[in-house]
Amino acid sequence: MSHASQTARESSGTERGQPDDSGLIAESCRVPERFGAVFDRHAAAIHGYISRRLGRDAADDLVAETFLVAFRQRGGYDQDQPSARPWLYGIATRLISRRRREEVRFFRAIARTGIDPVADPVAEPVADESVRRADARTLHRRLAGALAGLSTADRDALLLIADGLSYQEAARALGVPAGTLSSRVARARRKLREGLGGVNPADEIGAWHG
Amino acid sequence: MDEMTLLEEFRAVVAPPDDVTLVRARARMLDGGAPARRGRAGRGAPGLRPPGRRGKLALTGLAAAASVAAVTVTLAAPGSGPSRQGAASPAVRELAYRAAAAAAAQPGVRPGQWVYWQEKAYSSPDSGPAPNETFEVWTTADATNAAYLSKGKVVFIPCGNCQFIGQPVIVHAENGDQISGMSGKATVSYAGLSSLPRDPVALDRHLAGLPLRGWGPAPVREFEVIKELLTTYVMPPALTAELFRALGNIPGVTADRNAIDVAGRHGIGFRIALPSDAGGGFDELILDPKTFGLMGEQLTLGRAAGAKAGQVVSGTAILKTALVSGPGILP
Repeated sequence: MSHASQTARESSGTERGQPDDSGLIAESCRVPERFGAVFDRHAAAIHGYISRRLGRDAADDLVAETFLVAFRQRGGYDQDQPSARPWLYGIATRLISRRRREEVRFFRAIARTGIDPVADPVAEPVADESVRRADARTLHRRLAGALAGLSTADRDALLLIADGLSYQEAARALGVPAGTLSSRVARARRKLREGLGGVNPADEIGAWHG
Repeated sequence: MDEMTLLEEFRAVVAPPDDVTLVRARARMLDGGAPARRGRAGRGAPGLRPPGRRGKLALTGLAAAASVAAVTVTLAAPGSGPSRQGAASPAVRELAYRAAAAAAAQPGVRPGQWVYWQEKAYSSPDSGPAPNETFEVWTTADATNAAYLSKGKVVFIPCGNCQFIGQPVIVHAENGDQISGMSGKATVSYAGLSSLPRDPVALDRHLAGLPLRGWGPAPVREFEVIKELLTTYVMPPALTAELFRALGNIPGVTADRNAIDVAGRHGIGFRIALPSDAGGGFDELILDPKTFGLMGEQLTLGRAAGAKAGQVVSGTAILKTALVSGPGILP
């Protein structure tokens, strides 16, 4: 299961008869501790999103900040929105935007060194899995370099989609019309392709290794 | 593979957050906020009302308590009740959240993992003949197996299809080894732990509704179930943390910074008053004041039960516990 679809499934508040996010948020206005359930549903995904963009230490800080802001502002939550994902991702993205230089440095460091500080340590690969692992690292270096070259707005749009938000959700998170969001994603993808060499780099490597 | 698939892979390799980070962030969120009044949503940022139309946030005991929790923790005097009728005090909740954070940092164990226990069991003379000794016993994390050492040899304690509640008490007497303690069916089986609600309010409600051998209003029943689970199983760290948070939400639970366990050690005691028609007094879980590790449990009955008021009737002090590779193995 891809990360995106797993994230979408885990955020479904209606599974197992549980109230959706809007219901929990409404209850939390009377019983604050109910907001903890919103945290439990979304904190891991938000932490991963921030971690991908700024590193783990920043994610540890900003995930707390994201939910603290959300908790304090829960009285104004739009009850017509059953899922709090766009709202939470929007808060996290605004917090990340205050550290845009740090984000660019983070991606450039990955591109330069090939070391991804937030990647899960992998077991020693065996046989040709080690070749595929090396290929992925090479691609990720080039990808990180390309991400560093995007504008903040384009990078925000693209990385929200990569985190599994729909175009509608990402537009809501950023507070922009859906058309604007689509344009930013299309432009970002085009620049990524250019930064990755103008052709599908995976096809290149795939051909090399047969 | 196109650039979006590559990007999703780049996102998917990110290691998940550790439990301690999430527990701390969660506690900070709930301690740092304040109850909010609901208002109509408008345009603007998703889920928020437009600028200039923010509602006023009313300060309540929670917000006031957040400032207390940020500076120091003021504990209730021994025997005093909660600061608000029907709710555990913010100080109790703060301690419970600290215990949850400590619990979340523990390593996960598999159900069959063997655990070494060095304990002291106590029973008052009024309770009848009982051992008051230090003993060693080994159990599995899921409490389905138990063993002890007798003259250097491992002896398994038969329990059939049941499980042990707490740890069996072992007494090495001249005329043979004596084993006492509870066995049977725990209120929640180890396999059933995974289906417990993860939401603290739902967990509180679920535990309070479980049948218990005995009596008492819902808060007492819930406290007893949590005590049973914490002293019987070695559970997944996240669940242990959740149970400590639930403990802090039980109405009527108080905390005593000067609790003393049956081994004479000082700790933090989480207490709940027992019904007067069952003897009164209180039941207590005692935690290490520095590590918030579980030190033990004890029952203190009131005058109505025929014991001297405030006298500990029975209890267990956990002197040492460790994960080991098998029964009879010392840490």
